[in-house]
Amino acid sequence: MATTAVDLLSVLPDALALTAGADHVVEWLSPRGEQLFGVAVRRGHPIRDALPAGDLLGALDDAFRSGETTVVPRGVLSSVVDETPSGPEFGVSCSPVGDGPRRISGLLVRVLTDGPDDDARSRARAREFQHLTEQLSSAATPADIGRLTATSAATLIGADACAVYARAEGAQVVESLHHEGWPEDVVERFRRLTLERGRPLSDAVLTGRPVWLENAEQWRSCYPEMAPVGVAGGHQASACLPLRVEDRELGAAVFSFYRSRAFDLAEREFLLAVASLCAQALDRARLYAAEREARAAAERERDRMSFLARTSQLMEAPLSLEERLRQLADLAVTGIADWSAVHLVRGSQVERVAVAHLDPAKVAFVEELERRYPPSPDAPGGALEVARTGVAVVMSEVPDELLVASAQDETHLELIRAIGLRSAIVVPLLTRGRCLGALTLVHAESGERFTDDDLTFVGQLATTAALALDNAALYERQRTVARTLQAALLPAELPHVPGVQFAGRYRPPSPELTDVYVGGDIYDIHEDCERGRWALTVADVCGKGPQAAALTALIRHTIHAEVGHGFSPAGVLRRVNAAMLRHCGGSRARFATMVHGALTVGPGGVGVTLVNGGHPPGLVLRGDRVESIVVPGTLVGVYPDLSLAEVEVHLGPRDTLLLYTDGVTEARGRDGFFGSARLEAVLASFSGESADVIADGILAHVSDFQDGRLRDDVALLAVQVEP
Amino acid sequence: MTAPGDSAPSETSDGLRVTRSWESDRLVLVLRGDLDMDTLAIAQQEVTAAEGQAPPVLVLDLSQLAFVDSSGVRLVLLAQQEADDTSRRFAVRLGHGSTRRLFDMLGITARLEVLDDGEVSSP
Repeated sequence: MATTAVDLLSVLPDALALTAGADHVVEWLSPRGEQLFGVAVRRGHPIRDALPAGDLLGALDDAFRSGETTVVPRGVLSSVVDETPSGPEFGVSCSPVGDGPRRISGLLVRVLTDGPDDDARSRARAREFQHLTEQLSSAATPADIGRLTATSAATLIGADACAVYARAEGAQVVESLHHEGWPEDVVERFRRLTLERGRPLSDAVLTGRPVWLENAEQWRSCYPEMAPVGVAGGHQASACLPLRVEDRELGAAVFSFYRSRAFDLAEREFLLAVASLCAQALDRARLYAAEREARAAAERERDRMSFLARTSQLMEAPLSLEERLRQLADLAVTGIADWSAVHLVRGSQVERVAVAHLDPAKVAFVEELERRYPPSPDAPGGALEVARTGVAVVMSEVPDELLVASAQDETHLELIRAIGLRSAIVVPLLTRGRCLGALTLVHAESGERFTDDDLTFVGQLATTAALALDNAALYERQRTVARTLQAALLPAELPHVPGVQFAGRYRPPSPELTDVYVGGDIYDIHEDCERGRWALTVADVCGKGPQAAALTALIRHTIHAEVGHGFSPAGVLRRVNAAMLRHCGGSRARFATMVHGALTVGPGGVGVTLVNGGHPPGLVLRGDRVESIVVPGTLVGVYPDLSLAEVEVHLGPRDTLLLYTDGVTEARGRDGFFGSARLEAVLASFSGESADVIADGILAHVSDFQDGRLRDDVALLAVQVEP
Repeated sequence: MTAPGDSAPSETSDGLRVTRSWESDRLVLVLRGDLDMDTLAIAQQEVTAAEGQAPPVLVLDLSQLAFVDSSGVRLVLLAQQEADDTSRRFAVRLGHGSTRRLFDMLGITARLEVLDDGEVSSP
């Protein structure tokens, strides 16, 4: 029943409340009822307790008793307001509700619409209201809206004083946006108010319902504690109106009047409409401010992201470390700070490697300053300390004491002060638990401030720089190791054999195409003094990196040993195969191909006994003809038994034997593969040239074919019989 | 020819495409494009995934490759080792082009079960 009644009531525009029982307990209160009655009438509480005895209570009692609708016209209530405050100054009707004439359970309280007298007034107000709307719609900031409300709206209402308060979201305090018509001491005292129930303004904010105080008497009876303030300066009546949009509590407006004021229906609705207008303007201004802030934050974030991106690019640029850090410092002063500096830890010293400002004269000034007054390593709070401790420092305000502490004498202090340091942030360049140095950013003439919030971004910046520093150092170390290792895999120099020229070449892949590289290609010539022969080898270990290098070293040393033991080329290969199988523990992940031969010098030239373990065939250049020496054989390091064949090759005067790795034939260029046919043609074109010219020429062809960028490493060995 | 469980071709940026299909008891991986250092990892993943299905016969079809270097040889040698270790059959198709020439040069064609030798080569 109750639910149905409430449902029905919610569609009656003039319904204010539904009461129950003889004391008129409020069962339901319409939004309009809440607004018009204000805080005095509350759901679940009897109206008899809320309002002093008077016409409204009389009308309620009559209706409940008689079962007849009673009416309290507006005029009746307002005429008695000065003597006996008796409740709302608007006309109401009270109609009994219940199951029948004798079973009245409660009353429906409805508002009486104003008569024709009010039409003229409401039309005038509508115009004023329209004007205020226009003014408020052009006000952009909360302060403007507060001012307009406290002046224009107050004038419109006829209020003698007004204060507008704004509440930050969820805050327990409200702050004054504008005061008008109050004594200065009151303004000062109430600039900021803590929200507390039992005070009219707080009640309005916290309940979302207006507080209507029509005269001094109501002030005293409803808010005895606050009454002296409420009526200070001769004010009699006040309306405290919540400023709300949906469920957003934006604050409250207080309008006060020198004369008692009966807030009749039209006035209450007008004041509420004005408050709603202010609230909407405030809400819009707040959303606008939030949006502007969000956009500014997004733009700042975007700038910072693009700054980080540029930093990352810079850190990968092919520049020396110092140059990169100098450019980082230069970049930092194009948007995020007035000054920047980078310090690096070098052994036990901390050295400044970069300092930047958009004005070169200022940089020169600082450099001169540091030359005249070398910074003390113990200076507190500075880059040196941060570089040493690895702990970031944020100084939103650079204290003058710090300048005093770091100054070495009066002149020095003056000069430091002249730089105008305002705010600084110093972050360590940390990587893998080590502090490599520090990045310092300073705001000076821009007047901006660093805060702890900036630590994240500046920290990211420092991390990017530190990683780059660390990578550069690691890369340099790795390259040194790689170069050393690679050098150890190749012969320092080739032996001198009477009547024979050797040319050996090795080229690693282009650095920009691979990581740090230790390749698996080798060439080698090893003298077997006991037997007067020379062992030739060109080998290619599958893969790269340390494992490949280890295998390459194993191959080279095994060959040296087994050649020394007097094995034939095929025997040497079988022993290399066995050594690799032992080394790799039966895994087929690594294998090698190799061509290997024993060279002997005879009266008519040179004899080479060649064996080939899965390697590209050697070529022999005789005059301008090229022969391919195809020797079948199994690759090395995978199968325990190798199928191998030995082939005798005779080289006459000026004949050249060329052994090479697949980095030559499998070189890929725009025209496809280099291939064996092209290699043979190139070799033929070097007819009559020396071994060195041939080796260099072939390397040049292979390199040119790939536009100078080798994807794979290349090893070559040319053996030429002198005329 | 295709059966449930056949996979769509997986492609790498360098253009190695691998298709997996069953031919009776053979699980056949057909590799197309380039098989080199850059694409070996992808190919290795495909082979490992295929081995995970424990096929009675695993066939690597390298005959459709545009390019293969020692990376491809490594792939084959490792697959052969896996098959040896698990007592399963492993076979390759090498075609009659550069792939075949590479394996011939390395002297390992005779050590592999090469299917094309006993099959009619497709045009």
